[in-house]
Amino acid sequence: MLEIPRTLLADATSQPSRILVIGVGNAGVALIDRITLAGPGGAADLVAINTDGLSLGSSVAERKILIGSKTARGLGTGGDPEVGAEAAEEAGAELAEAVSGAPIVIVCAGLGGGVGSGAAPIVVELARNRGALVIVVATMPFSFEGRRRVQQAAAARTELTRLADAFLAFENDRMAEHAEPLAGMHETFAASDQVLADTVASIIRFTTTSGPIRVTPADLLAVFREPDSTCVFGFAEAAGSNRANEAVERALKSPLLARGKSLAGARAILVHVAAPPDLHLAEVRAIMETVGRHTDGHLHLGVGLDPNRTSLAVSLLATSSDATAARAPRPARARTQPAPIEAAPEPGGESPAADPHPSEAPANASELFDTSPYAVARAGAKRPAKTEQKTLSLDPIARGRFEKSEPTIVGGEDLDVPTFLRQKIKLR
Amino acid sequence: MSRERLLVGLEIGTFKVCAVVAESRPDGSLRILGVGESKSVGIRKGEIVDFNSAIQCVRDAIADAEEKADAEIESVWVAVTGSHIHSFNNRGATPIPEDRGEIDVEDIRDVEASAKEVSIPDQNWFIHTITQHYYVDNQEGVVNPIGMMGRKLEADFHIVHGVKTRIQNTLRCVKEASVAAEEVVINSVASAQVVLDQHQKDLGAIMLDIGGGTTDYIVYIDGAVQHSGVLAIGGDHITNDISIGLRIPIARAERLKIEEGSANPDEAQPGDTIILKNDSGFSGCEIERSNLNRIIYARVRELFELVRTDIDAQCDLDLVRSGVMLTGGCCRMRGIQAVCAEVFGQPVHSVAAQEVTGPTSVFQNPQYATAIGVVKYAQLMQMDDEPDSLFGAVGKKIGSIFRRRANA
Repeated sequence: MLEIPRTLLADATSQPSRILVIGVGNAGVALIDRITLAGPGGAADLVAINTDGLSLGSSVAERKILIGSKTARGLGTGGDPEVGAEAAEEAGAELAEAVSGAPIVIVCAGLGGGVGSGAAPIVVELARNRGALVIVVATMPFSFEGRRRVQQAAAARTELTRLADAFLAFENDRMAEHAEPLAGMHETFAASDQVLADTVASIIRFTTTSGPIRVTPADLLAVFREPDSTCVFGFAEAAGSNRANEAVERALKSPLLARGKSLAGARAILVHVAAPPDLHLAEVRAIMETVGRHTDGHLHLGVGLDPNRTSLAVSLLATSSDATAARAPRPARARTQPAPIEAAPEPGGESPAADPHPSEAPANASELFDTSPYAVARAGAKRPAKTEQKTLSLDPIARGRFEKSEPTIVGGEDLDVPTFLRQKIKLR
Repeated sequence: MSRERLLVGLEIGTFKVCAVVAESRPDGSLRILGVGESKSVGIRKGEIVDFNSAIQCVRDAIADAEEKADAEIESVWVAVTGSHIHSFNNRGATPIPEDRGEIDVEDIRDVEASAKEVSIPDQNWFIHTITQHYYVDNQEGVVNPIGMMGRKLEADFHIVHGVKTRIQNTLRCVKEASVAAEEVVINSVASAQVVLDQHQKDLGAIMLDIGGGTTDYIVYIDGAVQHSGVLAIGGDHITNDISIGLRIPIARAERLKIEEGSANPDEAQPGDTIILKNDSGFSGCEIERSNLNRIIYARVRELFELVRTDIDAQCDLDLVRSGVMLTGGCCRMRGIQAVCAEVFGQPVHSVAAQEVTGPTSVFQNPQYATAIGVVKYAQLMQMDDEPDSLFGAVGKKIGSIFRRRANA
């Protein structure tokens, strides 16, 4: 890119760790508002980007950028990603200025529409080129929204997965499953927005609160970097003498985690504990042990201590591959799943090594974190694509007489299922 | 009655409900008078799932025991188990007031209370607080600190806790069967009373009680309980695996397991078959012995591996010098000791209750180890309470504290 980033080194010393949260499109802007309500607003800069002047007008973001004032005339894109992309190109200079200077950029968008699918990739690319770590949090449209939107969303997803450091997809279809069956449309959307907002707020909290165990970008990436997967997220707060156990139990009961079952398939799980400074080590241990019972995956622990807090909050963030995340096995899909497009050569100038100002981005990041895991994480992102045959879930009958009894689960494995079946021991 | 005091231990197991009536002799020995038993219904993995059926089983077992021992049972000591039971070690500390300097009963109670100041889930109860070691002003190896001078008393405890309502359900079940419940004890602590002797505890020992629905284990190091746990896997799982693997009914699988089962996968020759005769509702078939053994081996090995992983996380196995003791109904499975030895890398013995007298058919059967252990536990508790009349409330307090040491 042509723009030269501002001298980040100078900023690094004066500026505390700021996170930039960008909402792109109607859904993204709405999400920004929710994040503001959800909590750690002070720690993040919020930017709203849209083609629709009306939606920007009501937003609470500090900075609002109306894109495509020529192409869309301030009226929206009509659901066309082409228009969204054009609008973003048009406002390129302003966007580039807005995204520079932050070591971590979170881009929120609803995929399927014009701005979310069209403009978000451009914003992500601009941020990446400025050396930021870019995390995309996106919703996938309801399947009933029609084939066009679903296809547009899928195309945008592929592109964003390639461009961003991490891509978290929340399937609206799955989110709706957890709302009350008869809940109004507004409540359903609000509930699903809330889950996203909690996620983003947690990511912000992970990296900005100080504490004895910091979450590094490498930790975040280790959890997020799972091709073609769905993000699961659980969050709960509790106070009182039994707060640790209560919070972790409730976090595990979060709808998306399916009572901890979704964790079983996850390879890496980030457990973040935000608490007042009187947190005991025993409480952290209790939390980690409880989470550990539900999974075999690698646990990343982060602990943030905040004197302003009165309660203990536990956030669980994991990516689970679709086959395990969905309750129903999807054999057909598991088989035909294409290898994720990941190792595609990046356009010149995008990788940190080829950056015209290689020293600056890491210098900024090092204000917050060690530089090394950051670099390693990026390199790790380019590992060759994995082609893995997913295993079909076992026949439910396999529990036999224990069908109706409380399952014995150790390390995420249902031990009531005969050992020889789980270990695939052949009988003659 | 000319008889000494009667003690009754009740185990509501997954496979059987069993009540042991024993006579406690003043010299500390225990003589079993009779054992009542009934086949369990409504118990899964050591916990009650069908309340009414369970009550009936307890009634039957008690009635059977009354008849065999020719005695009337008024109250019982109850063994509990289940995956809800957890344990951890914690140290308590209490300062000794400067004007006194001498450690008394009150301090012992304070140190125990301070060790219990940890957050366990709201719905849980402390079941046992077992003293491991005392330290007086950092001096190690104090057996009884009462009367000693010091500024600070510390103690390590092994604390066992479980879900309150589930324990209450067991107690209610006993009450509904018209007998009073004295106290509860977890299976592993009970069994260890009769399966391990003091020498083995001092040397360091692991005891595994593999029952019908659960495996209860306990580790002694240096004479003190270092770790205990419950894994909700037992003989039922082996039966279930056989039933699914060989496609035979559960009842048939159970019989096959007892009559033919072996955990040794190399024992069966290729082509060695077992013919199952036809039965009502079962048309009979021929099965490969190697399949049967392989199914059992996989389950049993996994069971031991899970227990070992859990023990490894808490204890140093090098400090266990008298090996692994297997007890419970499942330890009668052929070849199971070899699998256990393979996993733990320690000598393994199948043992039943020791240190009791009575009909050998009873105490030599590892199935009864827990129920006999409960009686032994009850005896130890009561022996400590014996000199009550002399010391009154204080004496009782000492007793209640030191009986825990006695068990440990």
